[in-house]
Amino acid sequence: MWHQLLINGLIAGSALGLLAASFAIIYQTARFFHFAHASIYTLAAYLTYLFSRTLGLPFVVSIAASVSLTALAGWLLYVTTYLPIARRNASSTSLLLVSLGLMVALQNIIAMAFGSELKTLPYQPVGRAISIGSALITWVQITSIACSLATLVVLAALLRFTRIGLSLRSVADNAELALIIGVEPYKVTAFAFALGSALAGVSSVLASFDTGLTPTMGFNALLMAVVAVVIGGVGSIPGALLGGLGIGMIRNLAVAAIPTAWIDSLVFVILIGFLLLRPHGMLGEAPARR
Amino acid sequence: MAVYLLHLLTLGCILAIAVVSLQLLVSTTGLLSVAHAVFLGIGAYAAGIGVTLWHFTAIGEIGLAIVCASIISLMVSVPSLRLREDYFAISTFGLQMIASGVLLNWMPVTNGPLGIGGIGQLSIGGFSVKSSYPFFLLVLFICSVAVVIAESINASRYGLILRAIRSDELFAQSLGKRTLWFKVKIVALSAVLTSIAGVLYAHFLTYIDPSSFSLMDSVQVLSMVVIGGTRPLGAVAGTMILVLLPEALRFLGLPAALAANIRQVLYGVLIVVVVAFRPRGIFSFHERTAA
Repeated sequence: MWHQLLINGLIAGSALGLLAASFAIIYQTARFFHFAHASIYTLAAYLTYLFSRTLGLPFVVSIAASVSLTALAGWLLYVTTYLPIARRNASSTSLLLVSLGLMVALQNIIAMAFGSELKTLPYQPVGRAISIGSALITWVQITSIACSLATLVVLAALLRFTRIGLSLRSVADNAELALIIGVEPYKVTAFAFALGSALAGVSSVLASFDTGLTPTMGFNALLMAVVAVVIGGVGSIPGALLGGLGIGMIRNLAVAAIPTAWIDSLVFVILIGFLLLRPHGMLGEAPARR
Repeated sequence: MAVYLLHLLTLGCILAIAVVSLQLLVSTTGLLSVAHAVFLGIGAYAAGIGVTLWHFTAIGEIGLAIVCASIISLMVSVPSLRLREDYFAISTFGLQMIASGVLLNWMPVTNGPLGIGGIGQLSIGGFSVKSSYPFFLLVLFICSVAVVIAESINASRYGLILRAIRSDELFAQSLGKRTLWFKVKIVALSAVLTSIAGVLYAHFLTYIDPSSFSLMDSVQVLSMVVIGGTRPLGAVAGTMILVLLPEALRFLGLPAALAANIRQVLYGVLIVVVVAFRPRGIFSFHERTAA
């Protein structure tokens, strides 16, 4: 049984790590908690549903189309809403408030457009399974882990070796200094929104194979991702990944110890514990204490 | 029609107590709580459990609510207030999720999703508040007391210190102020006032379940604060607008499920629009945090 729980934890953890990393990329440059990321995540899954189930497009085409549209949606949110408000010197608290408003509005618009009941993607998630030790793992789950890993490798390469990746890291490090050397923080932040939204889209499509679609899926996933980001260390992408993997593992291993209904509460107890004892998280840089 | 209006006004005044308390917290400290529905819930469950199990009167219920609300507010405020202000919002998110989980799953105490029914009238010193009109007057009175408390804190030395902490915490510390303690106290006060609104809420509805104290309800309280602006009376006005406005949807003959969604969209959009176009009227903490 331990093998199975570990593997389930790994699957959940890699999808959550991807979402946490996408949230961290946006936070690094924008410097506020973008809660509407939850709705972006939900949007990706529903777009895939729309393209594949309603319009009957081939599967790969629907995923590619919905991930690109999601990136566009994230970019639009920043350019049309956050940026004008941020330009008026709004505090990060007002931007957080705006993101909450956007999240609530978008989540309910999605619910009105598609209905609140559980939906599934037109795909057989069951399929053939292989066994590792005493655990069973399906090919869909293997593909899902592989996709998460591949996306993360591409992301790491992008941040490390490309010009835009360098600009992104410079803005994350010090936005004013970046401006002095000719990097425009607003453009880079807009790019971070597009990139982060695309990654959230991938994570969302992978998760919706496993658990289906509901309008609140993004909210639940994002809460876990925010916890992952905080315990991993706010402002650290490897930290976010590690946090995501950790939370995914804990949620699945805890099944053996406590009733499933209490697992979400356990995660937030861990969050409060980290805030109390190690507020800069596992890999965070400077303590945020003042 | 008169009964219906009285119902709405009573509900509005109860919510306004919670909104005034959150507004007090936001305007003095700039801290955002996304868990005020939890404190409302603590009061409501304290009343529900107190009345149905132990036959408490008003004093007992309010006492229980105050004790529970202040302990739980400390659990959130002490860890997070040492950090940047964003972390307070994150912790209240955590509290909201834990609380929803506890209300739904702690069957022996909260009766889970079934909720607690038959709460009955509020009884104060042998008298019970029977009909809805005296109850409305009582609620209106408590709401006015909340407004007076908020106004006097705003005008007091304590309010001044809190605003000083908000604009420059390090400087306030250099003047010898124990800033953490000042902030923890105002969070607790805000939570306690809200839990008293929760007690009234339980007696008003006579039936409570976890669905009335969800994240969406917390966001609703927050959006009322945003609409209402920086003064306590503004908060009352903001509450009344957001209680009465969605009622207009009722007369459009929309299906109930859709109406709930439209109401939420309305709250969300209002938050964005108000912060975007009337920011100074709503929040006075518009200095940019050091980027």
